[in-house]
Amino acid sequence: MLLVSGILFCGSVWTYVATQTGITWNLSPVGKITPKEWKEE
Amino acid sequence: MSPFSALRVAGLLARRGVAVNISVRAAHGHEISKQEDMSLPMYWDRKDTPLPDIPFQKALTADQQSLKQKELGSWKNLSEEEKIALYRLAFNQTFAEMKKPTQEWKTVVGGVLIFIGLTGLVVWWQRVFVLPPQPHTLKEDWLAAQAKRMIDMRINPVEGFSSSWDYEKNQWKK
Repeated sequence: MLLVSGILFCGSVWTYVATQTGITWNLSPVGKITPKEWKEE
Repeated sequence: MSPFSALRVAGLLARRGVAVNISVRAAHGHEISKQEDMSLPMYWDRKDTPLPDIPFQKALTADQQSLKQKELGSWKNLSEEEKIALYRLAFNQTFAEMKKPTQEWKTVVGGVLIFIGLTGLVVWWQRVFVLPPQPHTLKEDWLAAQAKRMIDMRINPVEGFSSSWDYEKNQWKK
């Protein structure tokens, strides 16, 4: 019972913290970021 | 005391989680539970010590004593129940009972996860109250422009960053 509650508590807290709090994890842009023109004409 | 027996006692104490402290006993006076005299041989159920120093039941009732007398004769005369009764006089648990798996690991892992969860709450608090505002260089469009510039500069084209970019199709390699 402690195991299940531990999994749920830990999982939910960290999922929230990792995704919703605005913390930057600085993941690799490869495959995620679409490059945008940087040169100012 | 030889190092071996000292280690053995320490090992036994560690396994049983028993903290027998004579000075504590003296400080508290009469204790509710009777403490064992650790200077005498003790009975332990241990897989690596299959024959403990003393039998489990030391004080025998009259019935048990007569059974022990019978044990001195031929064992062919003993019934199944008597043999089992004699076993239980000498030993507390069978090997099967000793080896039975407990559910302890679930408690341990659950406790660990709860504390890690609490750590997550601490990190959240830190994000709200401690960390400074994010630098502008981490915003989406800055990162996009940065990525394009790195691709144009051919950063790490062999195995690194630019090697993941398909220059013909103008997209990330699949």
